[in-house]
Amino acid sequence: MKSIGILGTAKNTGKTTTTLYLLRQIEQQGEQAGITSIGLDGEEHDFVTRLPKPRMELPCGTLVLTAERCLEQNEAKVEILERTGLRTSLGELLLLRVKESGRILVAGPHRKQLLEKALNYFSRWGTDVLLVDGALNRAVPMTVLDGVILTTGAALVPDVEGIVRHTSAIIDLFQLPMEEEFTAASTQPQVVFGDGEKAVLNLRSLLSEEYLPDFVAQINKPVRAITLPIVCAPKLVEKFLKLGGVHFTRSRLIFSDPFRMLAGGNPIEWDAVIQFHRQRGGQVRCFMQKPLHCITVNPFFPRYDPQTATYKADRLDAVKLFSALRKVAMPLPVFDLYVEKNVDLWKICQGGEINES
Amino acid sequence: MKRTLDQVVDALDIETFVLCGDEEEARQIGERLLAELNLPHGDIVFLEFNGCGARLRLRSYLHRPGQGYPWLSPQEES
Amino acid sequence: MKKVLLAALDPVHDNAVKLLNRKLSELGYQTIILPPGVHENEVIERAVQEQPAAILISRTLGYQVAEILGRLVDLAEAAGLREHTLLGVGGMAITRELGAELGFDATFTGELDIEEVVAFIEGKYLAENRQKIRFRHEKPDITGGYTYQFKDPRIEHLLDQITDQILEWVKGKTTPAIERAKIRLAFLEEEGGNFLDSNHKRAGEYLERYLKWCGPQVQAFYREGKLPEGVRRLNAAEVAKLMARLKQTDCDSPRLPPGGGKPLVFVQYGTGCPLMDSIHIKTVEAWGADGVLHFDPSWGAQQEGLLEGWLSHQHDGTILTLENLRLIRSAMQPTTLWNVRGHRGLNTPEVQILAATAGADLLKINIPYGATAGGSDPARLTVDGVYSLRLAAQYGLPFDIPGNDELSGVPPHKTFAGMLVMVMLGLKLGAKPIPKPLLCYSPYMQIEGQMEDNYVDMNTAKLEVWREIVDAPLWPGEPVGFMTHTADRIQSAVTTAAHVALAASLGVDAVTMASSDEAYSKGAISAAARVDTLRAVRDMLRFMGNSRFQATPRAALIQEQLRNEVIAVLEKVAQRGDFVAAIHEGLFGNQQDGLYAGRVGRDTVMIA
Repeated sequence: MKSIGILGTAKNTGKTTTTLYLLRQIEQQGEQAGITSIGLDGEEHDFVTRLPKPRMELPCGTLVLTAERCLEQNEAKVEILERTGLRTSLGELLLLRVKESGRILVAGPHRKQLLEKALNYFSRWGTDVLLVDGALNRAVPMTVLDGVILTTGAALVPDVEGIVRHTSAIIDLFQLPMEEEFTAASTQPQVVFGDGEKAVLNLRSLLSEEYLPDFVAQINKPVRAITLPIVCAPKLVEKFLKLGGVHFTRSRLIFSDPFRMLAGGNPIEWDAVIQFHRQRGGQVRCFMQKPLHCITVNPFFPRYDPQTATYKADRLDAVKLFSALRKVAMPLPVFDLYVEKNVDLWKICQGGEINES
Repeated sequence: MKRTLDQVVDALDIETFVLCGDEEEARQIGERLLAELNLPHGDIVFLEFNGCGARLRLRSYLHRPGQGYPWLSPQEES
Repeated sequence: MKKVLLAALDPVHDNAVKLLNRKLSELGYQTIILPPGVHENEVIERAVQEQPAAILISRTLGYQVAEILGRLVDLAEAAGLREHTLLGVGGMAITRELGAELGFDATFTGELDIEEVVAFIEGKYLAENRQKIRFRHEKPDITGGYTYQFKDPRIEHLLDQITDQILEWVKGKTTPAIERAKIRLAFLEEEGGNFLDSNHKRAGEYLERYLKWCGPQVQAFYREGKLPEGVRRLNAAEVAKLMARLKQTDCDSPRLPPGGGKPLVFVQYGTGCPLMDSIHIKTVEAWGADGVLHFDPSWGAQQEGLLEGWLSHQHDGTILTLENLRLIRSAMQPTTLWNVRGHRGLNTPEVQILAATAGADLLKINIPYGATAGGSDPARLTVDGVYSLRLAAQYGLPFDIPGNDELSGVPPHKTFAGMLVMVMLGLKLGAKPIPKPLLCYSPYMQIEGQMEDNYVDMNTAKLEVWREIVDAPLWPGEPVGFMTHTADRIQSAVTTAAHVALAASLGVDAVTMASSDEAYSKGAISAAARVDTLRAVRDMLRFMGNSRFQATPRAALIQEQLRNEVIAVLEKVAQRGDFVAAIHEGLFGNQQDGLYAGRVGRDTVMIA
């Protein structure tokens, strides 16, 4: 079974549209598709902006993992295949098969550990491809999947330059090389000094300035490599590198994975850290990497209208947006699925040729 | 497609405040409003005029007890 | 004890966080409360250090709420906290949908429920969440714990005399209503219910016997299928649709008094249509009512005999038929208390039978009221009433005694004297009476100037005088706040809530309350109006808690005066030695008080 996560940079970037687009293609290939969400998908209206959302209309035969309380609102006819015993705030997760196509509310495993368990259920019931719809600002559960599609758009920031900077920074995180020499021997940071001495640093997270001085104090000679398998904020990593000064020149900085980095802070801030370290001859790597298959972009954004206190649909100049994005994403493909109807997304996710139709 | 108004169990109330010169004017405004909104069985439930305007509560019985109730039928697909 | 981390992601602490902090500490939890406005990074950093069993987040501001909380959840996941630490969220800006989208383990919406939070911290929340917590398990017994002992031997003696005379007088007498009741009972015993049931072998035979005692309209209904004007038969499809709809509904709800306890709150219904009634009943159940009272149309009470089938009409009061009653009962929550009134009219005995058969919990019988303001002939209703009390005793159902004749302008002491007669009469026949003194803007007491300063003294005196006389349950009705309501729904909800609160303050067992449409006479009560007053009452009772109203010294004076006047009325009635004559002569309320003896069913009492 292959699992693909749909990672959105904000609400209304087209996660559901991308998911359904891909789902149709998988079904057409005669493969068994499965779907779930780490958040809540399929509501008729966005619960923040009240704008209508695309209908989560699942074709007959699709396997779905959703919470029991969502069943009440389903329009699709479903068959319960298995009760998983996995629980969320909306009740027990049930594995269903769509018997008659219709709208469905999907709220699946809400944390990484449950998602990992959920994979077994899908695989046991013969799923070939599992699509996992993401949730706002939540990337870490996706760590357990085989790869991701990034969805972004004007809903993140309503200007072309802002979107491009942000997207390019995320791409950079997914393109960090994998570490092969060192292993994450501990859940805490480890330092390998230039003289061969190794030390485990007593630190479990780097999210505030509180522990920074203690941390820096332990860096008293040139460093060859430092592992940071903990959750950290990019601003503090940058500060740490600066305080460590020359000891970090030409060192190797190793993070756990791009998902945890995204959890720790804004990708643009991460990009600054990476650039800063590279400029001093350092390298930045990850213990784990996952393929980023492609990027889908939604030029639509909800504009707040203070006159009526409501949100209204608005859009950016698509031509400008796409040409700028394609330039920074190369060779990763970038699509507007609202316009391009013949993109072979499924092939791309399998690592196939880019179809620039 | 069913009308949303079919989901109203019995009465639809409109609560508002209108600027007017006296109680009679308020009553006329209320009655005109009900007529403009094309609501059946309209009535002024409450009217209180003071100073520059009137507190109004208008009511339209969409479904009276003893009639057939469209809300009893399950929501149909459009 | 477990460690709990509390954080408000707002510039100031909301009260929920402070309250949680105090309550959890009291329960022995080790709480760590972070300063208000704390950044999500700091929450997670602290949690990584402390490794708490749960992190509870509050957020009341809507701005960027999803972005901030989503990030916090992802940070917790990235920090490896989620395998051992539960994440809960609540606050004004939080909905269940949002909590689910953000991946919290639990979302707390609505008022803070400490038990729910504790269950969550203890890891029980998710399991129990599947089975909704039930607020109501059984039907309370209003009469439980009361001895019905009279505290004043003088009053007891007078009531003894009066009721002995009544019981002696009714001996050997019968009425068409009693004859019908006997036929109805025999038919029901043979597992019949419907006279027009072609499957029941002897239905036709019973119907013929029954119709001998019926009026022309009822005869025309059974013989010619002629419906009274404005009456419509509901078809089976309509009823089936309603039942299908209600099957999906569970209206179990928290009781209105905070933490449960007294008083039980009752709501009257009777929209004219049993289907609409059912929706209204579900609505009031869902908003916290404990019981409902069935109101029937007055035309039904003025003819001999009852109709049958599912019937509706476009006027006040829902037609009394066994099928209507059964339909309504089946729509109710099993824990909802149900009262069917038969306190006046020509079908009183039969109403008790149908009500009990359909599953009523309470009956309503008051002879002096029914025979005056209720319009029934005193002699007829006395015979029927005594028979009805015997039925109530046989069924083991309590009956309530409304005091609504006061609304015509009758002084409360006369009304109370009549109610006391009913208490004693019920007790003698083995039934359990519940007096219902009216909490209202009493027309008589207004004129007497007893309500000029406030409404508390008068109403306090009216309840306390009952406590002084007899150890019986008290259920002010009907509804409380009568004559204080206007068509303004806010005003109406406020006065209803104030009267319920006063009643609760005086420790009554139950109250009947109005909707905010109480004073609107040009249309049926709307479902929305039911919600208005139930909301108001809930908040008023919450506001009051265990605090009490303080009446002025005037209340005690009114109480003493009331008691003396009650005794004076009872003395006159006892002296008269003829209860029926006492009603006719106005001893329980005369023409000056706005009362006349009823005429419906005159000259129908027969020698058995």
